[in-house]
Amino acid sequence: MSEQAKLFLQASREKTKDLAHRHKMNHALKQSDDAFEKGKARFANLELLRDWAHAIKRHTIEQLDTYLCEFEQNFTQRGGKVIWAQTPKDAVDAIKAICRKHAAKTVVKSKSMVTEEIHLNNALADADVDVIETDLGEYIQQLAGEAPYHIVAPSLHKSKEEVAQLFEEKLGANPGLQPAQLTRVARKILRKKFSEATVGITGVNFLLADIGGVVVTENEGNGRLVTGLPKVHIAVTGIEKILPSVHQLSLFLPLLATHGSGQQLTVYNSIFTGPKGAAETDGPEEMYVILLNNGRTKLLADPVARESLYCIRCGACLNICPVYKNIGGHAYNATYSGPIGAVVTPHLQGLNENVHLSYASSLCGGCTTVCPVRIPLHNLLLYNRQQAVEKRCNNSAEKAAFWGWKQVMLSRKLMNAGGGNAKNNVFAMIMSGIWGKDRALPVFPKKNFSQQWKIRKRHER
Amino acid sequence: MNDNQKTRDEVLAAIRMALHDTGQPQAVLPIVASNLVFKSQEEGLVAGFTRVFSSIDGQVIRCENDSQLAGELTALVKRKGWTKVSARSQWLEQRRGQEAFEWILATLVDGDFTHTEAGITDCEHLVAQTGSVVMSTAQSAGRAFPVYVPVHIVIANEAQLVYSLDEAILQMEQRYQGDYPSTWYLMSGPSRTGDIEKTLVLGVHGPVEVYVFLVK
Repeated sequence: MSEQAKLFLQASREKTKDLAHRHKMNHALKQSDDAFEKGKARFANLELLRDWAHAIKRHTIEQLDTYLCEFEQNFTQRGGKVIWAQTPKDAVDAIKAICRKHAAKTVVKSKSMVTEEIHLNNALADADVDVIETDLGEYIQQLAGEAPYHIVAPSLHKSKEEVAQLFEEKLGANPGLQPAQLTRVARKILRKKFSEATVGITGVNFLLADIGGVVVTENEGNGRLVTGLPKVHIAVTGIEKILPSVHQLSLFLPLLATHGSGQQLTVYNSIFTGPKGAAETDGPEEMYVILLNNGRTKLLADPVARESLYCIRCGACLNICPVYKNIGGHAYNATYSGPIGAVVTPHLQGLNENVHLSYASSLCGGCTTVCPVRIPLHNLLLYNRQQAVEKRCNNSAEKAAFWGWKQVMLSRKLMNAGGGNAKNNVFAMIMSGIWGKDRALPVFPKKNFSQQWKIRKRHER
Repeated sequence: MNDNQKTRDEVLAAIRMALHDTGQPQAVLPIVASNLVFKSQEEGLVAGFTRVFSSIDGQVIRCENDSQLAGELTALVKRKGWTKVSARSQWLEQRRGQEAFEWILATLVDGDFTHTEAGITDCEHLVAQTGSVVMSTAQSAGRAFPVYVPVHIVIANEAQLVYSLDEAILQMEQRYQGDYPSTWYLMSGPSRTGDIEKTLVLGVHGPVEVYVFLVK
């Protein structure tokens, strides 16, 4: 078992037993669920929309090179600069160089999972740049020194009391503040940072090839200020976030908003096509888009796993996942948690160390039924497992167990061998470790199926 | 920049290698019938916009004509007791010299908007189906002003209403013919968050209140 797998098991065991954690997760995810159900009812025909979204993403990903080049050409024409990055280091170096060029001391950021992926905050801190997260949830996580717990709602595992305490400790806020008051505290502090910052960094929700556009969607207005006040705007994105045309936003923005937060549209949806125009009132002097690969072409090279690149990061698969609900976001120890994280992490960060995530699923298929772009998530988890077996990442105990299982299943005699008690003993011996002591083992009946069947047939006669 | 060219070639080569092979026919780009995205409601554009925008905590004030708008706006400013109101609005500017607008125009504060209590702007369009205000940096409001001010007041007329998001995008495409403003954005209600225990809080980084004054 890899070190990662051991850590994962330990963390999940702890979280599953943590009743306070479960209570908070259930509370938060119940609200998401209710909002989503309400939001879904607005669609004329969601199944059709999912078909369209899937087909558009499939078409785009199959022509990724063409669309990226089209985006680059259009965006560059309007004064923006495109920077390509194979690795996180390429991306981080480019961002550092831009900060150096502008002697940036303070950088404000809006929410971005890709910058988590490249560990940007630490790298900039090492270069003596003060990076401030401005999305409220991310700001809370930054104050707590934690990674986001959820790709859309970074601090959903914290109660309002915990946030109030954090603000008291780190910001000297009055004790016992309520959510609205806490928000005011953050607003006041971050307002100052927006004005001080030289560079603003955002993620990207969609790249638009036909108009060379960068779409950022958010609710708080921090994305707007990050792109409005600083002198430089850097947008960091994975290469898969592209759509052929601005017109497809009329499908993708509602899908993203409804699956992400149950809203018809998020409050702010902005399309950036470049730095401030000559006749415009305000805006950054320079705008950069960083296109990051970081293993995505590995996913692309696999015609099956490729579908995971359709993801629009709405977080719906996390919200519905019984595993995520119980173990939370940090147990995964990966940038992307939940079902989509379990699918992509083994490909992006190594199969050997991360294949255990593909087993962290009950295969209930909830993720697949909810995905707005119809990624067959639970099938891809099975596919990862299959890959692991083919590449011999599974251990000898598992191989032996499956060999034994196969022998028994192929022989009626072996299946019928032993009474109920013997089976219970053997099962307990083998399984109790895996089953855990917090739930009861299933019990085999005294008589096996064939015996029960024969008796039943006799009675029927 | 040479390094960037090299990395660009590497990334594109990796993509092309990865796509080389599947043997499957390539997917055709479907045409999305955007009128099938949301259920349609049997109501007019004005009623639709008002209903949706109110449901996301925005406020719509309908005005029969310019002078009624001037009256309503003046009344709002007085009722709220705002002393620092700024405007970046062509529409309002064009009404300089008209008696009805005298008071409101005289009240306006120019320049730095750090302490502004309410900001008035124009807009490109209103989207009835989603309760959205379409704005762009082609207008004087720019990027930061409309989101920095604690109260945002939008002046629009009914002719600017479109039904769906797709219609708004089409209109923008026709108006700018490829020469887009550096930003265009949709604003659907006041700034909000649910980041603390999913409790709804309005006015996180952007406005707490958004008013749309809709003139016939």
